[in-house]
Amino acid sequence: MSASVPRVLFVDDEPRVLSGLKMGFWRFRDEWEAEFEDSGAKALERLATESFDAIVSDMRMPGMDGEALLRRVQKEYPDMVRVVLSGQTDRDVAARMVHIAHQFLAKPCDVTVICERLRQAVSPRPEFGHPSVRALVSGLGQLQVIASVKDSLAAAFEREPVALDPVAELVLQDSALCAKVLQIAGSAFFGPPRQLGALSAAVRALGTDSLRAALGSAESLPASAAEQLRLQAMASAIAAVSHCIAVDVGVDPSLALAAGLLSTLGARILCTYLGDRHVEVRQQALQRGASVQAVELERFGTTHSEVGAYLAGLWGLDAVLVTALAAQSPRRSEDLDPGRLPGLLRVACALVEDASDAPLRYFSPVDAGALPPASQEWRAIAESAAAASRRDP
Amino acid sequence: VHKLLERQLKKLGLEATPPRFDKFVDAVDAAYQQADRDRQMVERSLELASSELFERNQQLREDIERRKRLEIELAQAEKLRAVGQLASGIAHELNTPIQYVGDNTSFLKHAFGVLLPLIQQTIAQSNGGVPRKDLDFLCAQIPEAIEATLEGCNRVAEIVGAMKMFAHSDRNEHAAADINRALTATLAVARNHLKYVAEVTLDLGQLPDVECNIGELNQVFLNLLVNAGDAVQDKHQGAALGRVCVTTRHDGERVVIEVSDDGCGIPEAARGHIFEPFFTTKEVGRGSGQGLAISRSIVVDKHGGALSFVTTLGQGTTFRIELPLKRSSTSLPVPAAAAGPVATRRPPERVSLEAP
Repeated sequence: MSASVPRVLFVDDEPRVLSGLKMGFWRFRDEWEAEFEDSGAKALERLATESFDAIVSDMRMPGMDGEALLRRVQKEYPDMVRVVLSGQTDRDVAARMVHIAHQFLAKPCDVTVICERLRQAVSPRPEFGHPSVRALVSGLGQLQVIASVKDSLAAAFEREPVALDPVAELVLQDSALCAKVLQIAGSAFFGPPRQLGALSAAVRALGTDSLRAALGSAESLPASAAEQLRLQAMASAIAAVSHCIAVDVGVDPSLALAAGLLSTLGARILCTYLGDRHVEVRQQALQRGASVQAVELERFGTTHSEVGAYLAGLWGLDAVLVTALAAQSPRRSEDLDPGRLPGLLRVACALVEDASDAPLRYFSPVDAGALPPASQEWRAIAESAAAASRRDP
Repeated sequence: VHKLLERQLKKLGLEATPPRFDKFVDAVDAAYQQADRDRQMVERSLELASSELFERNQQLREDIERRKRLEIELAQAEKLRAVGQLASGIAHELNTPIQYVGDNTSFLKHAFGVLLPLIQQTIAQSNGGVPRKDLDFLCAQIPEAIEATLEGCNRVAEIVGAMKMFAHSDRNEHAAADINRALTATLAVARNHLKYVAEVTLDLGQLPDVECNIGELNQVFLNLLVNAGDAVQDKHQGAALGRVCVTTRHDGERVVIEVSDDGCGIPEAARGHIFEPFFTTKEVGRGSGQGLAISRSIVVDKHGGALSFVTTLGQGTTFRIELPLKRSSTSLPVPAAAAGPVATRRPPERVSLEAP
């Protein structure tokens, strides 16, 4: 990956579509190196000898179709960004693609939109840490869901007719479901995309059948995943505090809520998929009195906040959310202005961790002197949120 | 004394019976009375039996009616699904050429932008070959032609998108939908039917999303628009364009959609029947008489809303749909006869919850 500009491979069986894209990308020739193949088999041959940052594939193709191609890419080149560009909207296929492709663009799609989506997904790559961690994140299809939430969700989908409000409430209880719902709603997996930061609006816009198709098959977290459950409780508290701050300072509360819920998603992913390596990180953080992020940065060259932000970018979530998540990393400049989402989330994370009785800190603490006077009230909210999560783990 | 006995005694000339017959006469009288009571009882039970039979008959007739209506709705839904599949297949086929026509045209636009200064420079330097005014014409018209092509391409894409949105129908799908967008899409589908008979105006208010089955509601909107088109055509007979107006507004927990026309209005005799299946005032082949019956079933039974109309003969009709923002458990289609054969497919939730 020494090329100066990112490389993207387009696959479509219609040569005119490829030549159209080639001409369309001519405008962006300084930003992208675009290559083209007219079949899945040829694309795989190409991937065997050259490296690409992203692949954009049609769905319906003779021989190897888009689903088979992207499945192979996910397995063999998990590091690549996988995007579908298709005129087809078959619900069953789309429900499977949700776990294979990062994003789904519907034909006709303007080249500037394709370019924008790719830019958001690809731009954090060069500075992202260890390649194996990056491949781990982009190779992920579905995230494990808390078992009790998954069971309640299955029960909600079994009721006839399905009501959307209980489903929305359940989605809010699990960050993994939140991320998936925002990914699906913002892409064209099922119908036209709607970029929604507000989770309940996204749930409602997707509707009963799409949600059932996409979320019904989720895997559950193993019973041993105590740390992940703790991270979820933390996310809920951070979301509650973020929401309150947002209302006070005039930031979009639904975006703040979503940012809070996603704030520990990266940590949850690292806990689950790095296993013992992450246990060591946490032990070291405890011994040294450092934050988990600081140790992660030394060990993996990246942090759980950057992992969460990278996943959000890959999945095409609202850019404001991606920026806010990335800003929690100690590598970024300390922005403590609660009037903007990154600073607001930073304050909420710190307050919730201050209120927690667990000695392990995932985020670095914030100097209390740097906070506005209103933060006393927010601190009280964080404390009651922490107390609530202790009562009801 | 029983009247019949009295008459018979009179006939025999026995106005005053001898005292020793008293006992006998009393016995006969008692027998007559008893016979009367028995007859009355038989008559009453016959009456009861017949009214019970009548009721059962009525019930059966209603059941058959309901079943027939469901069959029609089902057949209509099947037909619509087939048309929908066809439409989305066509949309898929069209999306590919739209993609590359659009890409190519944007490329031409940018490429020409790069070349234009060079061409102008060349024009300024040499005046051989092509006449100057032709070159000026080309420089002005090529970008315009490209712009018009792009615009046309976007329009085709929009129509295909509307077609796809309109065809979108899933049996039980419930999702938050933008009613204004759905109306605009339906209008795009009905455009060809309306554009020669009526001028359509849209007055769409700010609406919150509505939880609904938008595929089914699109069908209702289409029915009302087609009916409005027919009504103005009947009145103006092609002499002038009629007016069809679609308005939406947000009213508390509901949204209100109105489709008005300045057409012929609904005759008084027909007003009570327009929501009945197979009722039509249109000539054979123009209307099936199912549109409004199905619309009523979709709006009222499936969405817990209301469908009503106001009409003045010779001046026009306004149909009004009121939809609740959310599907609440109380507005569920709980069939009136929960025990009836047609209701067994979906037992009403409320009842099963109350069961011990």
